[in-house]
Amino acid sequence: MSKVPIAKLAKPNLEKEPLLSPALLAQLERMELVSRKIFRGRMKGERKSRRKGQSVEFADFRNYVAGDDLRFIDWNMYARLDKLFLKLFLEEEDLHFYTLIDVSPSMQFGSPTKLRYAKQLAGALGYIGLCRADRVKIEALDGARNSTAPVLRGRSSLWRLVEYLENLEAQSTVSMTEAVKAFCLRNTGKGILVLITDLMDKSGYEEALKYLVARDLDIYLIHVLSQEEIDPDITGDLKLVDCEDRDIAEVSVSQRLIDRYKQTLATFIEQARDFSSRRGIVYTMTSTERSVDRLVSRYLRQRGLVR
Amino acid sequence: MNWINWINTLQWYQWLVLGLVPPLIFLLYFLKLRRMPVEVPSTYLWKKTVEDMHVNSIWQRLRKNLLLLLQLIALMLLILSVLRPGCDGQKLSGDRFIFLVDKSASMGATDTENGSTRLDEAKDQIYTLIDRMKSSDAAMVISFSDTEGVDQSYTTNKSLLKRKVKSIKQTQRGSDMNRALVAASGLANPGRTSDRSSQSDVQVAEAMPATMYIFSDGAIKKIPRFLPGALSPEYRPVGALEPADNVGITAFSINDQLDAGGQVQIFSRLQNSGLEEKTVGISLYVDGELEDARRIVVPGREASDEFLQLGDNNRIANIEQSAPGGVPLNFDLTAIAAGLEDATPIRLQIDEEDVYMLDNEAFCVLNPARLANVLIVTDYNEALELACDTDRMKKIGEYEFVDRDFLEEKEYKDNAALGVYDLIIFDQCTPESMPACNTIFIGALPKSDDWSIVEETDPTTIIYSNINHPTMFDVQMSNVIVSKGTVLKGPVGSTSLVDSVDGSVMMIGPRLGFEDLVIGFPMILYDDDTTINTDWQKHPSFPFFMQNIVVALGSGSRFNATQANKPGQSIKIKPLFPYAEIDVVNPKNNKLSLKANADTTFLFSQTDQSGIYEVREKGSDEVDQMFAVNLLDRLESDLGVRDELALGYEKVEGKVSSEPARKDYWTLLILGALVVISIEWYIYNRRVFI
Repeated sequence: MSKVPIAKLAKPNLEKEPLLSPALLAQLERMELVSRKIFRGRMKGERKSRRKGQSVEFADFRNYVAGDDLRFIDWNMYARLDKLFLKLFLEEEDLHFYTLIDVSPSMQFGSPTKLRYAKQLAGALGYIGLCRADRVKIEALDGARNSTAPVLRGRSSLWRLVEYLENLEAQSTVSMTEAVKAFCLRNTGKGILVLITDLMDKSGYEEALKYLVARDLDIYLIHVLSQEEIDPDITGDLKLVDCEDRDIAEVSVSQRLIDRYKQTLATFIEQARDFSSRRGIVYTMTSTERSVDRLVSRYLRQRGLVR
Repeated sequence: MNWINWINTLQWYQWLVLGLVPPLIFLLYFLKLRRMPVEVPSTYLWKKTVEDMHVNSIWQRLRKNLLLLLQLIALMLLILSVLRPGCDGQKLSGDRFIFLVDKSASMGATDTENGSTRLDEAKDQIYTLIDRMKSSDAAMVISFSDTEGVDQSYTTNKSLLKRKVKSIKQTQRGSDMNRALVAASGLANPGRTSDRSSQSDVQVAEAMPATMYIFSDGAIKKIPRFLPGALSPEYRPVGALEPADNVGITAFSINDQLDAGGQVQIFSRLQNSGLEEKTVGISLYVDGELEDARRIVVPGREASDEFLQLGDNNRIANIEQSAPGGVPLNFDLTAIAAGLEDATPIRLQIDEEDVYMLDNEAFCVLNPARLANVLIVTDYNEALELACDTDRMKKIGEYEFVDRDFLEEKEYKDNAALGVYDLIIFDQCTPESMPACNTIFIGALPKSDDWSIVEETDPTTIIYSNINHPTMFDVQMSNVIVSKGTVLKGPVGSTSLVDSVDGSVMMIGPRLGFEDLVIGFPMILYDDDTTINTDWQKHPSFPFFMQNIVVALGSGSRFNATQANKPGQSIKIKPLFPYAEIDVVNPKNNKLSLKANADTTFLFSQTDQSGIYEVREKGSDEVDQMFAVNLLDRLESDLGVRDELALGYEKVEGKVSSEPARKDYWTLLILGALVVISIEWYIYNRRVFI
């Protein structure tokens, strides 16, 4: 057996790997996005609507009233009971599925970076939507007035989805509130919204979430943190520099400080979860160490986003 | 009560440097040079964390500077340890001390309790005493063998004192404390000086009493005149409590063949300083080959009643009352000497190892017969011819008789200038220039302004002859009649050999390393008729005188065995040929080049090592001659440690030092500093919170 050069055993460059692996795609094809609310779609989809409509799935009967479409009268019932009943069928419709990705510089940290992780997650969820003929829109929270994000539909749009995601770059500092506000002004449709962010915004994330809640969307908040943030591996007397606003925090790292940091982080997460649940937002915290397929197939399934 | 005291081990500038360290650490902390910038996704949580912790900010600050505190504590411990804290049992009384260390050969004996040499043991004892000195106490170090040296003059610097004591080297010399005592008392007694070479430095310090510790085994030469004055001597005997079983060679010489009728013999003597008799193996090596081996019983110390009484501390009560046992030992080397062509080294060796190995070997050199080359310039002197014609004289020299016309010839001039002759006798004649050898002038003066005639006498009455001079051994001239004579005046440094009532009539004086002997009266007068001027030739003293001058001035000794050389002694080397430069190879095979003096001799003083020294022409491997250096000192070989020293009229009792040594705590402080540094390292790296 020939010896493998040591350099090849080094950690693979995660950024160069395909965003969505074929195995993951195969797994995702069997899944479906679920909304806790049923929204009216603009086009017929593969989704049962609360509306009764024209599909093959029977829903109910009701008495005939003048003006009803005679094509839906159940003539067998009329023969048996001599009364006119109208057959109601479930309407099948499409779903609006939005994914918002935080592209602030803080998302550039971690291994893989939080941004990369967010892209993978958005891609995976978007692909589920495409498979089910949902209306998929993925947007970066870059605060732009005119979003270049494409509206996608159908499995064949996967390559456009991936292309868009691959081209996403971390932007200079944008307030999350401003970016979400801009999104809400642009998009008025109802549906499912997944917000992927690290919530590291010094002006606070609450305002942004309130905007979304006001839109009466089915909101999922996926809080992504890197392992370095969860369990920082730093020692000594350090000058911590904020990558977004170059703010400086001087710390002398001790076990007590690390413990206190972890405590603060736990409180921060708890507050976010509490804030979310009070407003009907489904909160999920994940580390970049956790694989995307595991997050989708286990955690998001548990929280009812997919099935 | 034993209080902790401190010893300053650093110089002021070293303290200055050390004192700069704590402010430097402070500066490094407060300038915050140490903070390393690290980029993080957000300082949001960190700031929140630090704010939480600032609630009890005083403790926070303290904790934040914990590493600084630990570093300062460690540094403080290190600084304290440099001050060498400790407590000692008892301080030395007095404020001036002199450590007189014997470094003679016998101090190399390894009969101490821990097997180190006596000198090392003495050094250890001195270290203890230095530690017990108060910080204001001054001490000086003098070491002595047969010479003395002030290793360190008075100083309060204890580490310097220790360094100087440590640098004292063992010698192979005998011991003579006289001059060391003079140097030691220089400061204690006014009017004396410790730097005796300086003329002006009469009183280098105020007369201050000092305690003089003498570290020796007591095997030293007698000190006849010494007044301690303000010095209070304390004798610290070093060595085994009982005399060690040391068998050594204390004599080793080759006889004078002239007196022994052609027999060549080696006389040696073995000495046993132990109590019991001892049987030792003896090997005699001639030119590296084993020639003779014997087993010899050497008796122990001669017992006397006093000797058998042991003192309280098991030391022999009075070791000087008992002489070490000895046995003579002779070897016959006639057969070897007969066929000898080159100088041959001879080594006598005791096969058994003992605590003092230096006296287990003795060396001498057996040189082939060398005849003195004597030129006699005379018109006719029957007395001289007869005196040189004896068997005895023929064994020691070759004699060439020439008339005074020979002095004009080139052969003479060349030979005289090259030093071919060992001795030239000028009978009533004077050469144009003085030859490069010793000369004897009979009835004439050397060609030099230094010599002059004071007056002429007739008759000349001889009243005294200087029989202590080597040329005058057994030469008694008071019964010799001399008619015409001259009273002589020689150069500075001349010695009168024969005095008449009017003054010296025979003198010997120096000339550039040579010697000129002038006899102020001719033996025969050639004035009008040949008349006899003296009846000296009829007396037995004349042939004795002739033999003496050939031996003493013509180097005509039958055996040039230089067995009398002692370590440290300067040796005058006269090679067989007048080399300009020679190499001397010592027993350790080190080579030293020497340049010739004006008289084609060489002065060699680096004889510290006993053994055989080889003389070669510079750059040549051929041995010109050899000489031996031996200690052969009965005192040094007698390893019995003396219980008291006689310093002049005062006897100093030996005291065995058993005072507790100083207890040092600096090691504990260093240990503490190490622990603190370890804790600091642990906290820094492991992020432990205490």
